[in-house]
Amino acid sequence: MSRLKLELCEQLLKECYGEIVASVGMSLLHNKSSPLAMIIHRTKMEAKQIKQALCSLIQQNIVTFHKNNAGLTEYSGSSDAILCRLRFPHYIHCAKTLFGDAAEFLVEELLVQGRSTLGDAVNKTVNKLNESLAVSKSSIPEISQNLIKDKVSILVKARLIRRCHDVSRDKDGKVISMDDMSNPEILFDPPREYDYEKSTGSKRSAGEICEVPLKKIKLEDGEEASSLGKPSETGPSYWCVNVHQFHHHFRDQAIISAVAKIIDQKASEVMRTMLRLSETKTVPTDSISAHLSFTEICTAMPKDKIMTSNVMDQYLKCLSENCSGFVTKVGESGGGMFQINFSKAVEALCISEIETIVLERFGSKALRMYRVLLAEKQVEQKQVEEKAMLPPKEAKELLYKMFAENFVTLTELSKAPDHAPARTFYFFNVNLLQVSRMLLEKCYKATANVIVRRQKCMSENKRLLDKQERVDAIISSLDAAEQKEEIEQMVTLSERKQLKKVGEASKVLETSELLLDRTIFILEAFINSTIKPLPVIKK
Amino acid sequence: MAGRGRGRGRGLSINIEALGLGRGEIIPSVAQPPPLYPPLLFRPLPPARDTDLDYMVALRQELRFALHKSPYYVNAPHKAKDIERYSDKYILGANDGAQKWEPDWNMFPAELQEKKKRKFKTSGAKPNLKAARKVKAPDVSELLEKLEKVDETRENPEEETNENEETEEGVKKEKNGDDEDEEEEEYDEEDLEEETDYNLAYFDNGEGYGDDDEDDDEGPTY
Repeated sequence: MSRLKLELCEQLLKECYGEIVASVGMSLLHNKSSPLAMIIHRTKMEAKQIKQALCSLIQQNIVTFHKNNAGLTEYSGSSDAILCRLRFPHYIHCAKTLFGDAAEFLVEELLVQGRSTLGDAVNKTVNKLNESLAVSKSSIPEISQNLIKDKVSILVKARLIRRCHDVSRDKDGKVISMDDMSNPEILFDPPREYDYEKSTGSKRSAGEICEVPLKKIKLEDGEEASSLGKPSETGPSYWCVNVHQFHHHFRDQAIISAVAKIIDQKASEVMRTMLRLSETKTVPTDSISAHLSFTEICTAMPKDKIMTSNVMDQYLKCLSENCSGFVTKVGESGGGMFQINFSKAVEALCISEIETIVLERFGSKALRMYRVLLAEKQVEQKQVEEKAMLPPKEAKELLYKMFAENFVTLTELSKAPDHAPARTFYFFNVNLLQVSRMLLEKCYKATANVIVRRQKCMSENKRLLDKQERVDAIISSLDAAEQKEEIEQMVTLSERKQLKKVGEASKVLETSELLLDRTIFILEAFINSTIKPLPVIKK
Repeated sequence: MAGRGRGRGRGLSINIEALGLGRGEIIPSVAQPPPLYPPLLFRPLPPARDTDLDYMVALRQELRFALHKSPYYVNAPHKAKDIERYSDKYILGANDGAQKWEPDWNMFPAELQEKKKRKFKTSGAKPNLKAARKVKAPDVSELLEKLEKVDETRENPEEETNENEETEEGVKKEKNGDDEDEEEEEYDEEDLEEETDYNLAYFDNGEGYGDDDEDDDEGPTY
């Protein structure tokens, strides 16, 4: 893990959960996994607070724990889980656009709580929705629990929320480690009635857990496999947001909008339909989708966007030929078999992201050269000049600038064993993976900087912001218009101007955080797609 | 033998001319790190705005607020600064108002659980006022009965007036004593509730007041 990524993690933790959690989290990230005593020793803080911070981190699905060989519980943190915090607004917005307000509130509640029982989450969502209904004074009747429960089932079916990993216990009923699921499908088991029961866990006193009779636990051990479907005596299970599914959705969305830009809106509809079809058939982590036949795609098109098979044929041909290999034709049966190539699609998205950066950083002439390099793989300096149609001097300058900033790499090929420059070819090329890694680092750095800048902006104007908050609170509690005006006068004109400026600045900074995260997402998706999964060793 | 090795040290080991530099040219030395804020070639575009992004920015601010208020935000303990200030009492932490969160210990390792300390009261043992009063209650009823009896006897012709008066006085004394007791008890309670009550801690019966003045009256001191 790189230093810059860690720095960003620290900033995020500090902002979301405070200094103490940040230092505990960082100590965990710096070391692969460590027992409690080690963390206390390293951070040199009070044990009580460290424990509290660890609980927070586990609750937020950042830290996992397992038992080591010596019998101690070891904790380990995940930096990716921390970086997800940047993406929270995206998740919530996505849930809203897919399944409406109720889903939005549910996902938001789960994200803030980290993990929660369905009963609690549903209750809070119902309350929130009814509150907002009361405020807007609309004529819609109160929202019932059942309606929200249906939404939960839909979300689980869409795999947007899942069960949390269960824990395993030792003989005394003490929790020692998190289960690593052999069968991930268990996590998406649809919720049952008992899942909506009120959680009792939080109210349970410490002593009660120890009182769980040994007999019961032994029984549980014996029928571990069958007990998964039943309500365990520990109460309803916990649920959390499945970020991976959200990421797949974001990827699909990016592919669709790319197609819309390359071809047209109708083509993007075809692409959307294909993605929807493949969703149910393909393992989401696969780099290529299952085969989709022409007739299948035709019948699955939404009713209002149905097109004749002739037009459809044209679009599919267009998609498979023009879109840098998003779609490939794999056979003729069933009117033509098609396949979505996710890894190629992600690569194309990543390339376009890199090209935009080159364009904004070095100008359009540099981009022309960069495209030559991307297309030709290995090019000599002279060829670059010729193909990009640039005067040698300008080309040389831009090329070496890009070289200095690591956008371009150089390969030496010597004719003689002495590597004399006169007898050596110098080929310029672009190593996509390396460039995207470099840019990813820069994005981490930039995001951390933006966060620091925003915090500084806020702390500098803390007094003003506090005042504004108090004035707002007073105004909302008052009724008479005169009094309101009087209170409003408390914030002077110059202060108001300053406040507006601060608000504007922080908004720009936050927007850039969100946009940076989009870039991070694409780059990460590309890098992850190049990593081949480890071969599974079967015992 | 020693002379052989000396040749290598002179100049650079590579042929500079091959790199396109003249014989006499000095290679610019890099003596300092690149600037912290390198000048930008182009001014970056302002971030694009659309309704979705604006909505997400609002969501972000809301989320941050919610997280700060949530019990998962662990506050640093208030550090005692140089001196204790009166205003310290009114400084609230970010989530002091939030409800306390108790993790579900079915899902968390037991070692993270803070063992609850049993409070042993070693000093400042307080009397159980309520219990004490309950014990007294029958006394009061007895007293009332007594008083009723006294009243009855009063209504009777003045046969045992002397005795009556004596008993009446006795009862009165008792009653007075009881009242005082109760007052004291109430007093104690208040004292416990507001330990820092300024008025209670500071008591001046005014005995010393004016002493100095009297001394001064005797005449000016030179």
